[in-house]
Amino acid sequence: MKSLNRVILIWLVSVACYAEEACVPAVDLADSLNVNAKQSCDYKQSGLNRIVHNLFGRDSSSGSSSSARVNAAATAGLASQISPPFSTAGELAEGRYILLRNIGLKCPQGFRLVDEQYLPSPEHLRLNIFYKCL
Amino acid sequence: MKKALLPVVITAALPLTALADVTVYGKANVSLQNADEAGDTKIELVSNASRIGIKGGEEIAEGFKVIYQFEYQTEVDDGSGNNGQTFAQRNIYLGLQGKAGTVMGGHFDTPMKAAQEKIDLFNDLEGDIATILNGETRASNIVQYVTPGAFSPFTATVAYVTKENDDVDNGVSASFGYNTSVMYLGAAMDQDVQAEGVDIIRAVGRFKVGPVQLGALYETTDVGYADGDGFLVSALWNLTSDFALKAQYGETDLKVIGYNVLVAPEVIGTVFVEDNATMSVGADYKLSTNTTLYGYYTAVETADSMARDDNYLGIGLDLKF
Repeated sequence: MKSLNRVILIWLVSVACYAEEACVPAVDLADSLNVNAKQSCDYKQSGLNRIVHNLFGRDSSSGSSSSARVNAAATAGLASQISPPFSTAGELAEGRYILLRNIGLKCPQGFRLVDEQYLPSPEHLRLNIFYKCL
Repeated sequence: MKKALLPVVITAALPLTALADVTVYGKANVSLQNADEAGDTKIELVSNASRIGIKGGEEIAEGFKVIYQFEYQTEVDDGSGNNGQTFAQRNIYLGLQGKAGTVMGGHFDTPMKAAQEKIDLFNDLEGDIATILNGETRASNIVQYVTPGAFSPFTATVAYVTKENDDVDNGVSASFGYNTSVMYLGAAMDQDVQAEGVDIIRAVGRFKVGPVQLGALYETTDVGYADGDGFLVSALWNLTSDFALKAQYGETDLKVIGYNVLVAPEVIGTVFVEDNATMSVGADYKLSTNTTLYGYYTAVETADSMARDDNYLGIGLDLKF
């Protein structure tokens, strides 16, 4: 009887300590051959998938600096807005605000910034923002 | 072309649009074990079904998509398994999926094999249920239909295995299951799949009560001139989110080990061994979300003329990516 009580006590403690993971690893999902299974994770955002999708220009929220080839691939086909030329920090802030406001008017459901490119010339800079409406 | 380059070539050949919904995945699983086999003891490094694969789908019409999976096994320990090839085929298929269900063809696990679901707690290790049970077939030239996801939690699967030989009967494998997060009940049958004349029926159950999972499997095998039963029970206890204890025990009185063998003068048939048993205990510790450190002890016995009394004690690392 004492042994049974100990087992029940350990089970109660493990109930409190155990939290099931919501995300099934992709390899386990593939192994199950369950073609109707809904993916419980966005595998594009981590590990090998993030690298593959970055290389082939798919959506990525990594924000990390990368080669010009990756940047060109990442922005291909996306909408963009170019700021008026600016030459001071204040003009940069104002120009960026104007761009974001204009994008907001085009994307009433919201938008996500994909890339920012700065286009220099001898006397000023222009900012080119690539975005995707939600 | 070297098979080692196959996955790279396939990935490069896919059009960029195909990557709209593609997942690259894999697993590296290696264990160091003390193997006591046939009276000899040795320490060995073993790669346990390490693999890499890609899977995905492409919508081709409203509610209709093409799905695919290419998965290859590699031997992390010495790279010389699989007949010297760096990669060996695992589950590979191409299919069409719509509201009426999924049709797919390729080289993959039969519905009978897939029906084991998650009850095999020592899957791909020495304690794998394939050690003593029948029906664990990854078939070539298999065409399968799966009922649509709208029928969930019920799923029915039926597969036709073409032997591509007029002199050999083609096989049929089918399963029916009820699957939720807390309970799974399944039934499956194989006819002439593992070999001509080998018929198997299997029933499986899995139950979760909080952190405890219990599993049970029963199957009966008929090889024409003999038949036998087998069972397996398993238990997993998640003491915490990171640490689990597990145990498994199974017996069968008929394990098929050979096909198209001369079993009597002028008689070709199936060879089997009797009175098989396996017992495994182990523990898993999660070092991270994707990495598990595990330990196990497995004993496998066969009591007939091909006597086997093997023991394995090992520790391993499993990385999923």
